[in-house]
Amino acid sequence: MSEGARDETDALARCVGAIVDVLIDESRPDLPPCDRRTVVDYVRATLAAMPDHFRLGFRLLALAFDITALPAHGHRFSRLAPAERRAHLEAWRGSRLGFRRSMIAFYTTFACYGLYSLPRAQDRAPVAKIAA
Amino acid sequence: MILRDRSGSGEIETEILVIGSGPGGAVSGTLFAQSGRQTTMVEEGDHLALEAAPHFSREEMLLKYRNAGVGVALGRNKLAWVEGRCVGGGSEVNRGLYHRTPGYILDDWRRRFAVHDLDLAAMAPHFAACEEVARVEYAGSAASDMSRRLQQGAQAQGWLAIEAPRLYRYDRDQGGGVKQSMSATFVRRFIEAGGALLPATRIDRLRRMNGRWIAEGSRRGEDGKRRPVTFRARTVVAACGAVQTPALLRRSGLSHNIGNSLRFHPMVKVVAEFDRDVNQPGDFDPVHQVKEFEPRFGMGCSISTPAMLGVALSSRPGHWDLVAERWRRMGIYYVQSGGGEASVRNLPGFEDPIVRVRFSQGDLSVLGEGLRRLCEALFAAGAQRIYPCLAGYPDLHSPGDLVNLPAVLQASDGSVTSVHVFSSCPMGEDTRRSAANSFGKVHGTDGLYINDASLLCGPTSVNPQGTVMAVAHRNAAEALARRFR
Repeated sequence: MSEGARDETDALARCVGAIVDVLIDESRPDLPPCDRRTVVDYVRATLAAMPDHFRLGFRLLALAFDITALPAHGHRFSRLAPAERRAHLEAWRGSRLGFRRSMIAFYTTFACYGLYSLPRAQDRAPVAKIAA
Repeated sequence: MILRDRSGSGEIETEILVIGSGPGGAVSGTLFAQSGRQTTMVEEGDHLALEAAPHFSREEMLLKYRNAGVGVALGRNKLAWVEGRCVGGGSEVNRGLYHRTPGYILDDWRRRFAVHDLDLAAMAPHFAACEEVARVEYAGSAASDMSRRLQQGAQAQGWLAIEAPRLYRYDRDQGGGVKQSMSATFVRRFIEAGGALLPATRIDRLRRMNGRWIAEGSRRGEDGKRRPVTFRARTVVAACGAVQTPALLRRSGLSHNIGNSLRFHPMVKVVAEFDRDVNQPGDFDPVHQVKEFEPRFGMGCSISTPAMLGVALSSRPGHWDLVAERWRRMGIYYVQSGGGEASVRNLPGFEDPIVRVRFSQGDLSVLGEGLRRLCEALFAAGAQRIYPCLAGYPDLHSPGDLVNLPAVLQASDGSVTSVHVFSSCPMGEDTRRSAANSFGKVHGTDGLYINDASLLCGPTSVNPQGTVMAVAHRNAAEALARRFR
């Protein structure tokens, strides 16, 4: 992999991790780091497996999402403080542009699925049966 | 069975190559192998045990679903759908709800597409033969409260509601059972009959040479790397599913009525909250369905684990606490129609096909009406609150709130979904409308068949797996009887 491509991949991974982190904070701010990692890994694995034409589109969108934080906040999204990250994500969630809303809806769906799939203390024993 | 590598170059010769191991491919391949034909069945996904991942879990999505469960048909109103990608295909990941095709559907297909020998009487032996191998049972008294609520609500409205059987062997004493997926039934018989199963093998293209089909693709090794593989076969059966089959055929230069008429059962969902617990850990999958309005629309109950409820309610602030506190009182219910039509096309430079869908105003009106009827049934069943899974729709607290629902569905991204895809290469003798003849032989070709959900001439109204299996059985039996001529 070339240096440029590796930088882009790293930037993408940081941006996706930061998006999922904000979404987790909306409902589970107290989630332990190891569980956060599980949810982020699940979303990244889903992105890696999605249809290749969508994957390309989502890579470009994520990079655009990261960079468009610069004018308003002075840094890329992935380098912002939590409150600024939330503001930037909310701006895209409520955007008049459909593709921006779609992108946030996608991450919300899969982050939520990953989050709710974590074993919960009260349900740990019967989890396999719930799923069946 | 030993496959013959002709030259050590990775080229494998077989009499019949079946591409895909879902309900269509598994049934076809089994009949061919049992008749003594040298049959190879390839599958793009892996060969995994039913218990390789908990059912409807995030692990299962990554292991057994195509593209990890991300399938989106683009258009003004997008539609998200899922398909299986593993040995057994969709039968491994669905609930296995089972119906024989309604007679009026078969009659309609026969008339509109000029399909020979297609009616309930002619199909009955094929349904029966499939049900002998993949057993179909009713849950009966074991059905969950959440599932029964839908039936009770429909009956209170005076509507027809039934319990659908499943491809499942219930063990009521232990509270479990065995799913009758393809990997647990037909695929086993295929292997016992001497068929060769090659998982992790993708076919990219077909071409004709010297009276044989050459199928070129790749096989993923244990190191995860793909290596080229080529098959040479007298007969090829494409059974890759309603999206991948037309994509493969179009990549191979075949396009007559292929990939132009993909259909779904588009579905919208609500979460209903009741005054007491209806959703218990360990409940059997829900099975009740409302038939009163079919074929315009039908209703049913979805898998309602906390994870599924969380996703269904994810656009609502405070969804985590809502689900954590009340998930046992909640169930997910759906209304589905047969509206919308889509195309399947390949994009240069990309492996995955692109799907574009169009819904008419009439299609969206039917879903709008269905959504209102579904909510009526759920309130009649005792729902205290209904949360439509559609952005911008209000929560409903009583039947009086139903006047606030739009008459025409206003669908946001991700709110219209489907788990049933079919009809991309319809069968029939009317060559203006069909891609293959009445028994799946692709028009204008020799030795090339389609035998999966692609062949169905339109929506089945009911869960389509039973139809796909029976049509595949019928067509495979016919091909054997005609000696593939």
